[in-house]
Amino acid sequence: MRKLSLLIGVLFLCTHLTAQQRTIIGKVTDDKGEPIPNVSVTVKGTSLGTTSKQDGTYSLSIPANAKTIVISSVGMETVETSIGIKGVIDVSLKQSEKDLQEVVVTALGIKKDKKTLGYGVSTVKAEELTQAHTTNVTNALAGKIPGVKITGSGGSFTGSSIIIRGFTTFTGSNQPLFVVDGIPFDNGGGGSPLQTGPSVSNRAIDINQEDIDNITVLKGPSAAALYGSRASNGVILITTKKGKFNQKGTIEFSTSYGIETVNRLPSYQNSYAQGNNGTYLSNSQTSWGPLIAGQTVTNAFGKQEVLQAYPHNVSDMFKNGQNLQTNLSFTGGSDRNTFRFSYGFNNSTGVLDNNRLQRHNFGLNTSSKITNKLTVSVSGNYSNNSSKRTQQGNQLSNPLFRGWLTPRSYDLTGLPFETAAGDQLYPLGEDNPYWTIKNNRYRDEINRFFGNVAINYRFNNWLQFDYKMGADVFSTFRHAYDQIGIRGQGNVANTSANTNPFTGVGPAGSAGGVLEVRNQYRSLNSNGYFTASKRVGDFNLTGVVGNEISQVYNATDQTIGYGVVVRDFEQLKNTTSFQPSNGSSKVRLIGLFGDFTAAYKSIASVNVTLRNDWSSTFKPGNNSYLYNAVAASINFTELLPGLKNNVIENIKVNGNIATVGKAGDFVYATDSYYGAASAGDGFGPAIVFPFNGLQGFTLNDQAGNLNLGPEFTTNREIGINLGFFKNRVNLEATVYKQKSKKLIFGVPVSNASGIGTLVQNAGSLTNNGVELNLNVSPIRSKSFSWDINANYTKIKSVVDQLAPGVANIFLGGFTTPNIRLVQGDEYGQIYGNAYQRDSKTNQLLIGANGLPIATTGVQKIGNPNPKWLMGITNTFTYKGFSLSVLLDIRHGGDQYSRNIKDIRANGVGAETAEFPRYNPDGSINKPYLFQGIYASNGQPNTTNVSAQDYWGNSGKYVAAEGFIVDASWFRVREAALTYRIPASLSKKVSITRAELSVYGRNLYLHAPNYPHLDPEQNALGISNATGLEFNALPQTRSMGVSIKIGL
Amino acid sequence: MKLKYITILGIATGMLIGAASCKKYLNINTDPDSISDAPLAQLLTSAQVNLGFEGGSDLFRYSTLIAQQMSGQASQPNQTYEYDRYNITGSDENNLWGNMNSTTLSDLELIIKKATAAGSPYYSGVAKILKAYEYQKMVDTWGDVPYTEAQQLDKNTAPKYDKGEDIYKSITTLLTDALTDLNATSSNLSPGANSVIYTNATFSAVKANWIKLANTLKLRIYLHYSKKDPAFALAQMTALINSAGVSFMAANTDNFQMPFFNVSKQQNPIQQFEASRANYLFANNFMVSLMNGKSDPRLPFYFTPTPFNSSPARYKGVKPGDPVGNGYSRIHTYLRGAATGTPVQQPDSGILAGSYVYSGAAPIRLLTYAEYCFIRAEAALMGAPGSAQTFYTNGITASLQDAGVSAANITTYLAANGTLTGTNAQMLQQIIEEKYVANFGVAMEPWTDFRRTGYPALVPPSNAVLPTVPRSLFYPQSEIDLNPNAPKQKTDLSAKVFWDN
Repeated sequence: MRKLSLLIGVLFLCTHLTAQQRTIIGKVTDDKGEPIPNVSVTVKGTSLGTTSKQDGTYSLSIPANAKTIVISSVGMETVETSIGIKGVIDVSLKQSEKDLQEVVVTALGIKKDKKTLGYGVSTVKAEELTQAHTTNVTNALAGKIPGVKITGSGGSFTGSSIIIRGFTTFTGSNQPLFVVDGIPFDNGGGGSPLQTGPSVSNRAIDINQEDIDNITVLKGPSAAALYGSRASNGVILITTKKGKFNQKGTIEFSTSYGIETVNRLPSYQNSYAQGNNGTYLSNSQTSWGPLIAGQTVTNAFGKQEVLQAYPHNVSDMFKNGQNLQTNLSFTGGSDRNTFRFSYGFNNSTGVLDNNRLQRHNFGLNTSSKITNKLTVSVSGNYSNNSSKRTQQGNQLSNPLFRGWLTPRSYDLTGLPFETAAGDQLYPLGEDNPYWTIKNNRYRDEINRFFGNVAINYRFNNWLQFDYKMGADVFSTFRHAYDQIGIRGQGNVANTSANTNPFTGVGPAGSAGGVLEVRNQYRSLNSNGYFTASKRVGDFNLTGVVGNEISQVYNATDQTIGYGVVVRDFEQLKNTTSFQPSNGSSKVRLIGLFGDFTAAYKSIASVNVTLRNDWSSTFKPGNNSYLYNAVAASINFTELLPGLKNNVIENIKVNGNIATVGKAGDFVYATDSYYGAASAGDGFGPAIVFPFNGLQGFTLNDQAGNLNLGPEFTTNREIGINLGFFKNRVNLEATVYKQKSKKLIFGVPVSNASGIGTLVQNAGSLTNNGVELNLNVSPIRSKSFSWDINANYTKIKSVVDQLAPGVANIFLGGFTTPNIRLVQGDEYGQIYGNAYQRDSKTNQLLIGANGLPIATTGVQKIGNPNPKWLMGITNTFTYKGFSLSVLLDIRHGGDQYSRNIKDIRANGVGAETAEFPRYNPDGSINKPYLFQGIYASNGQPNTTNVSAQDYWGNSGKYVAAEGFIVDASWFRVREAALTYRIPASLSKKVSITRAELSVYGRNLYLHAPNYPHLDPEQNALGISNATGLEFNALPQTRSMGVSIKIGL
Repeated sequence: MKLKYITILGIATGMLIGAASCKKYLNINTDPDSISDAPLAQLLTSAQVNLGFEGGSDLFRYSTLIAQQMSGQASQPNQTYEYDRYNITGSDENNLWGNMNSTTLSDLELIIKKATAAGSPYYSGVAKILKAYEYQKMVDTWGDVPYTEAQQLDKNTAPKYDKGEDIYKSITTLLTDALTDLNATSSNLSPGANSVIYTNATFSAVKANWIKLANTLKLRIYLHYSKKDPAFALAQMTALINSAGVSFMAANTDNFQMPFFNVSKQQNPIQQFEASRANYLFANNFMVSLMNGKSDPRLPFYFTPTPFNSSPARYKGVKPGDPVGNGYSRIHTYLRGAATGTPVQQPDSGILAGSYVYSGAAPIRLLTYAEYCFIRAEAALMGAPGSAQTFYTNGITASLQDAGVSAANITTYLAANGTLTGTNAQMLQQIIEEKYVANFGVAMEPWTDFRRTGYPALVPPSNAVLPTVPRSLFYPQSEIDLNPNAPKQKTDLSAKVFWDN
């Protein structure tokens, strides 16, 4: 083929000589010898030019007087070569030092010149993602991107929420769309049920971070509009590692091993025993007992024991978690084929027994040039992910629900927790922590395949067609077992009593049960588009037109068996009554899109995106919706090169207005249906049908709405990019206002209508945000460099309107506290009862007993949204060493902490013994005084109270308001010290690279207003409702070593 | 070259055609796992189970605590502790309101509409009685509630509130309609084995039970007027009793009650609550003292002795100020079903759950023959036909029999307590106090009788948040938040329903 073109070239040469013109040909390659397509080759001083083809070759007809050609490409250094009499000019381009970071991947993987980009995108590279070896890729993004808020829910492999630029909807998902190699990837899950079961992970955990080459975050609708309906929350664009053409085959092996420990443990008092009002009580929950002074008491087992404190009775519950990650990959490529095969293994154990995550990842990527015009690539990934977990939430089977407040004199470590028969030995009402960890079990396994087949066809040097067919398919199996005698809700919340003969201590509990859930998820996506790219004079014109078709199918089959017959036989057939339930949904979407960009040199650009979606979730007539985005930029330093001086390098301003339509998460919501009947109240009692062999159906509480249509999110954004000192200092600032309208949600209505909610397009909300990203390279010498990246995020999401007549809606929680959306207020406020206050002076009203009084109604008591977030990464490199430290700062944001209250109200927290509880004469010491006035007469309160009263449920914690704590933090989120052996040495031992690193995560925490625990918690897991903490698994710190060798 | 453009054109055309045929592709918006209509039979089962469940759920707990039959006490304040001191907020009632309206009444309304359209008056008759029963409870609980504009589904999501008095009028008419329906000569469809109350495969075998219920319920409703308008109450009751062909409940087998079963999640809600929320409900000293004073033979069925193995059995309820602990009587077999196992006494006088287990198969009683007798006794006292003494004796006997008291003990009890004596007021007190004990486990009525007659003489507990016994509940917070037609929230629980004035 190449010979042929040469021949043709020569023929042309001959022809054109006579016309005072001639043709030059050549090939453009990069410094590794790989061809570079789309390179602009122009005759200097003229508008004559062409671009290189896929194989890097070009041919250009030039006038006889042409002296110099200019070869330039985005991200490469521009080369000028004198023509002379040469007929073949091969050029090798180097990557431009200055422009290295200036090429960004945008929607559909289209690379764009950052200099002329009209909207904000951020990229995180592989090294940054993997340096702290987290299990879940979402955690690895924390603190690294402006505008992105990552919140863990506590524990080792639970859910982590990502919110980009604030909230865009009310009750539907606000999580961004994940796209892996161009195909949507489900990141569902991660919710934490409040009263039953464990907290689980979001499904991004199925991705092996070691397979990721880079992650690009498309933040606003403008950047994401091409992805259509599901992109209004932003897009996490993941590109996996691939082989390259003509790449030498390499084998890479890496392994890391880390230890996880509880990040922060409460500080306890060890002076006072179990009991109440100074009296020892062997079955008391609280530690308001007598001063421990070597006295002998009769314990709950009826035995005499010398009273003593057990300072480690809580901390002994926690083990060192371990995290082992091993990865092996083979990568390479010939001139026509590339491949990468990888295998990853991850084995993590949690800080509690019976908590484990195991993951196997297999990945295979290949691409082949079938012809010079046609490239076909195939990518397939299989992951097997299994985990074991412990009960969480507001329930007695959560080992930490009251485990945190184990009476100080109860030897939880040393006393047995079960009889030989397996019955519990625990005098308190809840499940013994060790017993529940051992007996109330949960395990799951996810088998997942995701991958795609992609075709790229180049018609000519300006037009190509891409087609991708992708699938994301997984099945989930969840199995849970509640032991006979379980006292809490556990996994199945059985409310019938344990009928087995009971030999333990404390309540005998319930009859237990078995839960089995099978879930099938299948997402298919077809995506085809033409890309035309042509240079007309100084204008670079690009146009993309395409079509997307997707289908998502999701089915769940669940069976609960109540009443375990034979202990430890974890089968449904071992139970006495059954409750099956199943459901499925199928959603289809068709999109047509176009994206057109005109760029003038590197000076200015205009980008227009149009997309029309048709969604199956609406009735014909409402199911088609068109939206568009316009973005523009101007680079002043390119426009007026005179602006550049020793200080100023780059001044760019960009702006955009973009709208994205969204189908939302409501499926089958255009009609009303009848569902299986049930009965129940909020206290656990429930009737499961069939009842006495009879089935029942009831009209669903949610009424459908024929007129349902899409939601729209519109973003207006202005950004500025300033470069100073040869870009050693680079600042990007973005200000935006994002408005979401016609939000779909089940609008709660008066139940007296016979329905509970009516799905409507109601409601709107606004996000105002500021994002700053500052890169500074204070030192950059040959052997030493220091780079600083600081990013700042400020988002304010305000609920403009809910629905007519609806002042607030409930997002999650309890009667008190709960999280609500309230018209006119910030998103997701904490509501609960408060202290009664004097209406004029706002002073606390105090009862005659010296204690505050609670309001009966609920009111706003806290705002969980942080005022701002900041991430600062310092990277130092010295020869082969590099040290990277990520600081993560969160300012503001309230949290309702049930745990801190429990630690105090039950007399176990150190502060509850800051003053002696009893006077020398044995009477109760009353050192505390609530600041306030008597409710009866308005006089200042002078009634002192005891520690038990002050910290108790009738004192500070009489109202939900008392539970509110400021969750601000400063933490060393990640740190890694890496040594890479010099190339000279590695060549000698014939390896391509060798790296050794030590790393840590959550190494240091300073939470000035949050005592006892790590504030990074969320009782509701991945949810729009944040700000509640209910005795969850603690956040962890990890430290480890890793080694990476390339052959 | 041309071929390329043809290819491009082809692909582009293909896309357009694809887009055009998308109509069919997108037409999948029907839930494959739900039905768009439900048969009468399954709607009725759903409505009845919910109505029966409600009788042993929130409303039972609120009213039995307010009426001081039960008490909540706890070292860590919990809901029953708060309810016991009248700290029942509007938010607490959201669930209850939702179930009554959006499940029970919504299904009943659909049955009435569908049955009327389908020529099945037996279904509409049953549904109307249940609807009347439900609204009577709602008026007694809250006062004014939506009625005329209620249950119109998405046609009216903010129904206006009707006066309690108007609703009472409407539901008596509704009961008359129900009787007309039930007396129809035929019905295309009839409730059969799917009716979990008065279950029988052949409707004609239980039709009489429904008719008796409708008439008895009418009596209950008329009696509720006794305070507001005694003349009206007397006139209505007299007219009803004297009307030709009328039939009322005549035996415990006529009891309007919902059976439950000894199967997980089919147990009665009182047992389910006790099993999953140990130490939330204890006997109240007020009721236990009342029964202790008469050596009531229902005590061993109603409450556990404390200590359990005490001999003779001792029964002790909680009174305000008593120390927190487990050494108090609790609900026993009458409401929790038969018990099996050997009780193991704990050091704190409690019973070790697990060694002693209740079946949960006790029915939830909604309107009993015993209550009918006491209604008639009170009516007779007011001047209606019949002998107050006879109905009084019959009521006591029915209640004791229903509890499982032996014939000998019934005789003994009647001999000591079965005679009405003294002034009318004293006789009324006797009737109501016996009715109060007999209606243990019946939601609302003991509280309603107190509000109506002042008997038994309840005094608020010392830690109550209100200085008087509550006269109604707050409107549910969800109504205040979501229904623009809802009245302003009550200042406190002393607001009275219409018949309490």
